[in-house]
Amino acid sequence: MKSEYIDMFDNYFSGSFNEQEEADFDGLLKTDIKMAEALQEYKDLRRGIDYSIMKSLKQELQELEATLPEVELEPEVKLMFDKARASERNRWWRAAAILVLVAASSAVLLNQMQPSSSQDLFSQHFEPFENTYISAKRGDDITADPKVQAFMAYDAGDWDKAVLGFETILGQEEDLLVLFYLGSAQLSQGQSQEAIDTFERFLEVSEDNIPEASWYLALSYLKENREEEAAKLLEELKDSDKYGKEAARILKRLK
Amino acid sequence: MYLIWVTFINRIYQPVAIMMEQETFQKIKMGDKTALAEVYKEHRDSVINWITRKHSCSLEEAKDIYQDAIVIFYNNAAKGKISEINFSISSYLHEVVRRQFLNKLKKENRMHRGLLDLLQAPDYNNVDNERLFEQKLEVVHRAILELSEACRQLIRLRYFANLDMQTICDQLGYKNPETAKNLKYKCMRILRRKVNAMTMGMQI
Repeated sequence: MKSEYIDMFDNYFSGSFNEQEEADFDGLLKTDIKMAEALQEYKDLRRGIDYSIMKSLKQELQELEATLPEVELEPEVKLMFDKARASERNRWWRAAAILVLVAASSAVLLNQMQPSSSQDLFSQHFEPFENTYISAKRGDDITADPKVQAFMAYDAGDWDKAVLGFETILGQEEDLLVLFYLGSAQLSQGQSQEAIDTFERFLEVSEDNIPEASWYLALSYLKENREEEAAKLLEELKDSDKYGKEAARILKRLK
Repeated sequence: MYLIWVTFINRIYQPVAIMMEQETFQKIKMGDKTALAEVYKEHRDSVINWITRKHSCSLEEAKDIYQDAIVIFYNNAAKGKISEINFSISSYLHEVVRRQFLNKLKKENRMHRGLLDLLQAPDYNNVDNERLFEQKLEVVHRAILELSEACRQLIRLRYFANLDMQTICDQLGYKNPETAKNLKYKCMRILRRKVNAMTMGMQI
């Protein structure tokens, strides 16, 4: 911005122009595009300067406030705050009372609806399969990859999103890895029947005997109270390195 | 006897108080922040109590609103927007707070817009425009923070407090108004360059 523009705009905005000068200025603005642009820039700067000074001042006042003793409240205001605090406390008490009631009634209900032992066994042994896909891909440009996004949802425990993501991928391509994780996500989601379908499909498609899939299918059967089918798979797993001990333990409890 | 004594004291005290307040006000008009801090402390308890009582808000909210009111007062004093006839700082601060609440009612969810409203934003109805406007202001703010202390002082006195070059020259101890003027050109050039560079960076 030219120095003469700065002076001209300064004078214009400080109101030091007479009527004639003001008319000349307005006339120039209409014909000189560069000057009009410079004026717009000048106005933006002036607004920014005001904003900056006010913002800095507000920060200084906050700092000053922090050094001052607490505001001396008038009795009326103090009473108002005390009442608000008391009502807040009451609210907490009420909430706590409701919580106790809910907990008590849930305990009664739980007693009446004792879960079956296979469900218990499922809860004790089930954990979503650890995601190793993302760490394998880390370092690449991964953000746009729908697979990575689905696995990220899986990692975050967002099972709905993960299931949807895996299903979308499987709609476009056959991917055993994705199929396996879909089953794990479905089971985590509580959709044990869907998980059974997925793991059964997985075992059908995969040529090798994958103990991980058998294990999760067994757990899915347990969740559905299909103990016999679960036991059959667990018998097969009894000698495997990874799941042998756990499978034996469950089998013992099932007998 | 008591009444006569009180009236007598009042007659002496009031003009002195008004005079002192006028003096403080004149200092603030010239951008004196120490005087402003004194005003902040002096009216803090009474205005904050009033805000919480009148508007049933929390102490923290009341402090925030009070700080905004002080900033608005500082701005309007510098810009010559305050009539000095029958002026009282306390009444002015109450009035600013009252207006802030009125604005709040008018513009729902736009609490504490007092400062931005002062800057005559182009079109607040459009959220995108508003965001862009705020972004532009933030860029200038960041650019100003990067300027030298001398530039910041000069810009504040010239463009915020609207002082003429002679007064600025006297206040900052420059040799003559011409020196101050040259520094003004230089500072504005640097500021403009920094703002442009930052804006380009934002677009990239």
